[in-house]
Parts: sequence; structure tokens; C-alpha cells
Amino acid sequence: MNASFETLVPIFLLIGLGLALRWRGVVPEDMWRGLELLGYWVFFPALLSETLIRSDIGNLPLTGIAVTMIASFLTMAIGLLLCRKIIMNVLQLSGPSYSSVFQSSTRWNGFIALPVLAKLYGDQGVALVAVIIGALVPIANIMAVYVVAQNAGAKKLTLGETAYVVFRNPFIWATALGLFINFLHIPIYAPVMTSLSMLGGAAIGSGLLMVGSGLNLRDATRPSAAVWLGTGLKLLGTPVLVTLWSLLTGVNGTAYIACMICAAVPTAMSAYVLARQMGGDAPLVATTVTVQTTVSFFTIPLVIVLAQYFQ
Amino acid sequence: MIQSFIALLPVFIVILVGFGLRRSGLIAEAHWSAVDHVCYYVLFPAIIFKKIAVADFSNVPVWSMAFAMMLAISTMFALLLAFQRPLFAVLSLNGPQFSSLFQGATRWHTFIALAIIPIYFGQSALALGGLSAAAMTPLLNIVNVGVISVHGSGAKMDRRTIALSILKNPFVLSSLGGVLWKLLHLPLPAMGVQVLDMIGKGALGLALLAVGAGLRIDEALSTKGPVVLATFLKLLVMPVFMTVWLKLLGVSGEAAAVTIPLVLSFLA
Repeated sequence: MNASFETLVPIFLLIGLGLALRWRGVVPEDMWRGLELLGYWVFFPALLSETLIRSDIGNLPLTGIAVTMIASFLTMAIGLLLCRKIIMNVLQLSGPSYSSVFQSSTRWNGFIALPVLAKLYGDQGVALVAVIIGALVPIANIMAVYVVAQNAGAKKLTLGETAYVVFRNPFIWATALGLFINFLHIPIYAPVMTSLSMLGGAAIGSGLLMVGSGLNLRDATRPSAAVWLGTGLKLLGTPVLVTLWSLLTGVNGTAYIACMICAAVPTAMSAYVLARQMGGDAPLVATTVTVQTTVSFFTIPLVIVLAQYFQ
Repeated sequence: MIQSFIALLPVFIVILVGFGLRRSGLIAEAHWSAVDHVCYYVLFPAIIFKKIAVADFSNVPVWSMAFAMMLAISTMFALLLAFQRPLFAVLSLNGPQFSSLFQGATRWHTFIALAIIPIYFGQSALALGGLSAAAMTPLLNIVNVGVISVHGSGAKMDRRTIALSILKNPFVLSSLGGVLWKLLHLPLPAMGVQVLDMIGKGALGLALLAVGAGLRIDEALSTKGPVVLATFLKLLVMPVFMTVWLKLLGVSGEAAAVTIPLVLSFLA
């Protein structure tokens, strides 16, 4: 327990620093946008592809990991869709708010999962996150866009537009490229790899500062029931589903723990952007992200310890 | 020669990526100032403080090194000021242009220097880079501000503002903080080191992208006499001055080598 807790302390200190930097105005609010764009378009893709090109991923149960994560995601998503009426009645939620609960419960934040796994398992940990991103990002994006469009209804997307949202996601390109080069053993000129690793080096630090800068403590002091539902389902519900599915797919060991960590991290920051763009309940997402991030400081170590016990 | 060029290639690739990102408009002009800001106020101070706080300087002639650097830039100051009149005449400069030539020939780009040093001398050499920044920044800032206020066209700065700008310089602050921490033998908790490491790792890539985004190729293509002169003085003459002073003061080995990329890195 102690060791996995200590893994998380520097990560959360960095998130706290991001919050403090924005709050104290050292780095003003509008300035974070540049860092966010660079992280999304450059640093993270560079880190993912560089690690995948370099790592030995032949011995990872790639199919098992992908099936476990996609099945867990679908179980959560379909469950929420089936219980839509009940959730909306009991918690007295509007359509946009329901879509925010959906996004908060099903999506995950790679910016937090990555440093945790990098610290625990080094390059192999990063490669595992990359594989999970490759498996989940397309389907999670499509479902999120679909559910927000159905429930918020400010702007319906056509099938082509939905496909475009997924198509222009740089994480998918970086993962696909990395896997492609790795499997075909395409040689890459060493200085190019060094450039990638210089850029990738910025991913973790700037990503965590960015997560912190996006938190809003004031709104999170009195979380509503919807916030708690999203938090509970995401931080504890998803790890339970992953454990159940991993029993069926036979994923165990390091791969299982990696799946559990990706399941236990808070929801994606991009959920907020999507909610704002498409008329979802953006403040609800923002509050849930803040509550989830705070609570996950305690639940992630718990999940890691339990996962190490179950592996 | 070829080896050390290849080692430097990634630095230029990343700078080019930064240039391309700005040109493509994927990251808008306004957002780049944010990146500069974060590197300048957060990432580099963190890395410099940490490197100095954990560095072992027992084998490094810190004082002679700092002294040699200050003498080298002072030599350049003296040279430029002594030949001020001929320069005005030959290149037909006006006051503001002379002040820009002066800045171009004497100041250095901390971002590039700090990116190059670990490539050749390993991570621990960054501590020397930080100390060099602390040694040169005050002198460079004072003299350059002086020259600009004599020759420039803008508002004059009073002494208080100059002193304050040096005291508030993040490179000076973080270096002094690191030295103080070291002198007081304060413990650096493992958690703290990890946080500073995570922040510092990002500095390199981010800073070089920002350098690339700041390049103005169209303007550089219409290069004029003063630009060529400043580039020549900065990239070739300054290393000679630096080497001479280091030799005279008996600084050798890594400490001497680190200063070369420092002086090579172009205008801040």
C-alpha cells in the first residue's frame, strides 16, 4: 500500500502545482491553451509512438488487453444506456446532465495513467498504455459523441462527422504508426528517434501540470448526487468490470495491472471540451473531473494493491 | 566532427518542428508566448535548482569559470564600444540598430544552451549551465539595458527597474536558490526530486519548440550587414574570447567545455 501510494505522491504534487500556478496567476488561465494543444498534438503522440517503436511488445497479450478493455467499456456504456430513464428520474437529471454522467463514467485520462505506469513498469508500462489507448480511443470517442448528441441535441453530428472526430485524433495515429513500425521492424534514423524522445519527455510533466490547471476547487465543494455517481462508477465500477472481464480473457500479471490502472484513473479532460462544444452539461463534467481527481489520489493506490493481490 | 553534428541533429529537428507548427497554424501565434512563459518561469528554474542542489562542485573551479565568462563578455562589450564610431560610419547604423547589434553579439539563448549541454556532457553538467546563467545574466542585462537606453528610441529604464528585473530573473533566482540550499546542507526529499525531475524532463523539448516557433525566416533572408556582423561576433569571436580567458585562468576539462555551447547559442 505504502509503495503504490508513494508512486502517486509526485504525480499529484505536480497536478497540485498546475492548480497553484493557474490559481496564483504565475501562468495565467488563457496561457494553458498553448500547452494543452502541444501536449495533445505533439508531446503525447511523440511519446506513444517512440515507446511503441522501441519497446518489445511481442510478448504482450495484445488481443487479450484490447478485448478486456473494450468489453469493460461496452458493459459500462450499455449499462448506463439501459438505466438511462431510471438515472434521470431518480437523480432528476436533464438530458445534457445525463450525457455528462455518461462521459464521466466511461472515459479515462491517459495523462494520469501514463505517468503511473511509467513509474511502475518503465517503458513497458508506457507501451501498455499506448496499446490500451489504441484499443479504447476510437470506440470511446464514437460512443461519447453519439450519447452527447442524442441527449444534448444542440448539434447532431452526421456519421461522417463522427468518423472525422475519431480520424483526426492524433493518439490513434501515433499508436498505429508505432505498432506498424515495430511489427515490420522498419529502421528509424537514430537522431529522429532522439528528437521524438526529446518531445515525448515533455509529455508527462506538462500533461500533469495541465490536468491541475483544469481543476476547479470552488465548484467541487458541494458535489451533487450525479457527481458522486460518475465518480463511483468510474473510479471503482470500471476496475470491477475490468477484473471480471480479465477472468474471462485470461489477462493477468503486468498487463492486468496496467488495465486496472487505466480503469481507475479519472475521466478524460476532453469530455469537458466535447460537452461544451455539443451542448452537454460542461460544468457537471468539470466538477466531476475535480472530485474524481481528488478521490482518485486514494482509490488508485487501493486499486493497485487489490490488483497486485488478484493478479 | 560529423559525430558531434549528428548528436546535435535532434536539437535542430525539434526546432524545425516548432517552426513548422507555428507556420501551419496548428498552434496559434498567441499560444506560443504561453510555452515560452512556462519554460522560463517554471520548467527551467525547476531543473536548474534541482541540478545545482544535488551537484558536486568539489572538482569544479566554479569561481574561475564564472570569472572567465564575465571577462569574455566584457571583452566583447569593450570591443564593440571601442569601435562604436567606425561601426556607425561603415555600416551606416542608427542608434537603435547599434543597440540591436550589441545585443545580438553579446547575449545568449539559455534555452538552446541548456538543451545542448546534456547531449554532450550528460545531465549533471546542467548544473554548470545554471551557474553560468547566474554568472552572466546580471552583467549582460545591466550593460545591454544601459546601451539600449543610450542608443534606443524607447523609454529609459531607471536603476530600480533594472535591479528588480535582474533580481526577478528566474535563472538567477533558481541558481541562487540551489546554491543556498547546498550551502545550508538542506535535505532534498526523494519526492521533491521526483517532482522536479518530471518537470525538468519536459523543459528540453518544450523550449526547443518555442525557439523554432520564434524564428522569422522571411526577415532573416533579407539579411543586412549588422546581422551578419552580430552573428559572426557571437558565434565565432565570442568562443575565442571565452577560450582565451578560460586558459588564462586555468579552467579546463568539463567546466571549460560546457561554456562553449553556452557561447555558441545565439541571441536570446
